[in-house]
Amino acid sequence: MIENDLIAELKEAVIQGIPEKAVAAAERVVELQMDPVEAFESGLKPGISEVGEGFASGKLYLPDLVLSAETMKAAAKVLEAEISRTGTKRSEVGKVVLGTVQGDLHDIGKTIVATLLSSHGFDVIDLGVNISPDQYIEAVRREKPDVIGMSSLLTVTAKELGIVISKLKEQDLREDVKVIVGGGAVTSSYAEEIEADGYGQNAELGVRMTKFLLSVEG
Amino acid sequence: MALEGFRCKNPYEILSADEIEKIHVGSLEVLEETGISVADRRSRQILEDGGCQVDHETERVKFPPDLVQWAIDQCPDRFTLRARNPELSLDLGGDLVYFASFPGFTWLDPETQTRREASVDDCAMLVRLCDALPMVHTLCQPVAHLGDKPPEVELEWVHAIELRNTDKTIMGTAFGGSSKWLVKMVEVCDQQTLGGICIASPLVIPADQAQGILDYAESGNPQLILSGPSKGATGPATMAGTLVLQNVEILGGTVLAQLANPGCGVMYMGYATPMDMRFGTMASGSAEVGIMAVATAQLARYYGMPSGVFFPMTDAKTPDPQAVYEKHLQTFLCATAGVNYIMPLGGLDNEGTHSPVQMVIDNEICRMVGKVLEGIQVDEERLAIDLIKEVGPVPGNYLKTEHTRQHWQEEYLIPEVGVREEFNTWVMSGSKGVVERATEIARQLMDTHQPNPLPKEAEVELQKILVAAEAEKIVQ
Repeated sequence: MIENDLIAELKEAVIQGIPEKAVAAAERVVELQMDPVEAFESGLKPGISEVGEGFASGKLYLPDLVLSAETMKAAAKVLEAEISRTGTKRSEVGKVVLGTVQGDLHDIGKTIVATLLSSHGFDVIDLGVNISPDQYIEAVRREKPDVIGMSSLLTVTAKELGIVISKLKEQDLREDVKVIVGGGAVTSSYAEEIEADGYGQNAELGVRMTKFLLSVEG
Repeated sequence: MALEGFRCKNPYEILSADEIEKIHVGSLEVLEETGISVADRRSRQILEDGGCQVDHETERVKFPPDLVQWAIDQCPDRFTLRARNPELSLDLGGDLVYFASFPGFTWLDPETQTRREASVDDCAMLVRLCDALPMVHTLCQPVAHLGDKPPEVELEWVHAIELRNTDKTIMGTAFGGSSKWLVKMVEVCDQQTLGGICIASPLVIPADQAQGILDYAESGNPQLILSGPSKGATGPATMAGTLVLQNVEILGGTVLAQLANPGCGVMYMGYATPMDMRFGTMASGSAEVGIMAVATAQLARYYGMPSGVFFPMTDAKTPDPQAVYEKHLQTFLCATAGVNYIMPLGGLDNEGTHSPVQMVIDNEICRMVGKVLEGIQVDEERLAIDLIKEVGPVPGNYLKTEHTRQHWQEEYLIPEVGVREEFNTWVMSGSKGVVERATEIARQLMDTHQPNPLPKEAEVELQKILVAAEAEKIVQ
C-alpha cells in the first residue's frame, strides 16, 4: 500500500514540478528497498508524459514543462543510482545527447528540445552551450547515445555543425549515431549539405524527427 | 550638417523618477555583487586595470559602483554618426528620432511570397531599396546571411555590399570578428559605422562582442550596446526585472567601451522581448516590447546617453494585418517615447525574414508616425481666424481659397500604399490591396533605383580588405 502511495507521490511531484517533493519520495523508495525500475516506469514516466500531453494540448506552458522536467531529473538521479547499484535495467526509448555548438551561447531552444524529448520518454544528456567538437566526440564515446542533437542560432557558428560531423567520421563514430541539427541559422538544405540525418526546424519537429529516426511509435 | 530626422518634443513616459532610481540602484548592486562574465582576455585585463574585480579563471568581472558612474559620465549625450555624404550623417541624441531598416536571416521574395536565402545580388538589391526609401534614415543590414559566400566572411561581404549600394550610414556587427574588418572598410570609404554589440543574456559578453567594443571604441566609431533578455527565459518573467538585467548588461559593456576610449559615443539600446510560453519563440511583436521601449528611452535619458531599440518587430510571417498592427503600435510607442534610433523597416517573423514589400508599408507607417511627432503648428496664419470670418457659412467653402492652396501640402500626408479613392474608382483601377500596391512599388524601386556610387579608389581598397579578410578567416 505504501508502495503505491509513494509511486503516486512521485508522479504527482513531477506533475506539480516540485523537485524536493520528488527527491524525498525517491529516497523513500530506496530506503524501503522498493523496485527502483518500477518507481521510474510507473511514477516518473507517467507524470512527465501527462505534463507533455498537457503542454501539447495547450493546457500547460513552458515554465510548467521545464519545472516538471527538472523535477523528473532530480528524482531520476536518486533512482538511477539505485538501479545501477542493484544491477537491474529499465527500458529505454532512446538516448539523446544535446548541445549548442562552439561559439554560440544560445541555450533556450536547445533546453526546450531537451525537455520535450524527456517528456516523450527519451534519456537526454544536455551538454550545454559553447560545446567544442571534441566535447561532442567525447560525449558520444562516453554516453553511447542513439542520437546527437546540435543547435546553432548564429550564422557564423553554423559551420561548426559540419565540423562535428566530419570529426565523427574521422573517429569512425558516424555510423554509431544519428545526427539531428537545428536552430535559427540552420536550413534544411544546409543540413543536407553537411549530411546530417535529420533537421528539426523547431522543438516539436526535432522531437518528431528523433522518433522517426529511431522508429519510435507515436 | 546632418540628416533631418523627426523631433519628439514631449516624450511619453511610463516609469516615475522613483522607479527609474530603483532600477538604477538595483543594477549597480548586480554589477557589483554578481558582475558579468567577459569571455575575452584582453577586455578583462582592461576592466581589471580600470578598477574591476576580475577572476580570469571563471571570466567573471565585478564592477564597483564608482567606476560605473564614471563610465556613465564619460558618455556623450549626443554624437554624430558620420556618413561619406555629410547630408546623410546622423545627429544621435537629444530629441531627434531616426528610423532604420531591420535585418532578416532570409528574405521574402515579393512576387512569390516565399522565403529565400539571399545571394550577393539579392542583398545588393535589398540595400538599394533601403537607399531609395526616404524613411530609411540609416541602415541595419537587410540580410545577415548570404547563401553564396562562406559563412566565415558573410558579414564582411554584407557590409561591403551596403557600402557599395548606399551612401547612407550603416550599423556594424561584431559576430565572428567582423568588427575588425568593418572599421577598416568604413575608413577607406571616409565614413563611420554605428558598431553593433550584442550582449548574451544573462550576463555574458561573448569574446567577439567584447573585441567589437574595443574595435569600435579604439577606431573612433560610435557604437550601440544592445541587450536583449527574453522575458521569462534569458531574463526574469517580469518587465521590471528584465529592465534591470538589460540595464546591467548595457552598463557593463559601456564601462569597457569608456575604459578603452574615454568619451567615445555609446548608444543605450534595448531588445528585451518576452518568450511565448507556448512555443518557445520570441514574442517580438507583443505590446510588452513597446512598453519596455518607453522605459528604455527613459533610462537612456536618465544616464544622458542616446537611446535605440532593436525593433519594432512582428511575429507575422507575411506582410499582413498582424505585421501592420504589431509594428505600428511599437513604432508609435518608440517614437512618442523619444527613442533616438528606431528600426521599423522591413522586418518580419522576428528576425527570420526581411521583406521588401513590408519595407514599403513600413515606410508609410514611419511617415505617419513622423507626422504625429511633427504635431500642430499654431500661428496667426495657420489659425486662419480672418479666413474663417471671410468664408462664413455655407455656401462658403475653403477649397477655392488661396490659403488652402498655399498650406495644404505642408499639413497633408499623401499615402503611397494606402487606398483613399472611393469604392468604384478603386474597383475600376483593379481592386488592388495594400500588399499588391506595395509589391509594385518595391519591385519598381529595386529594379530602377540607382544609388550614388562608391568612389573608385574606395572600391579598390574595399576589395583588398575583403580579400585580406577571406585569407585570414577561411581555414583552408
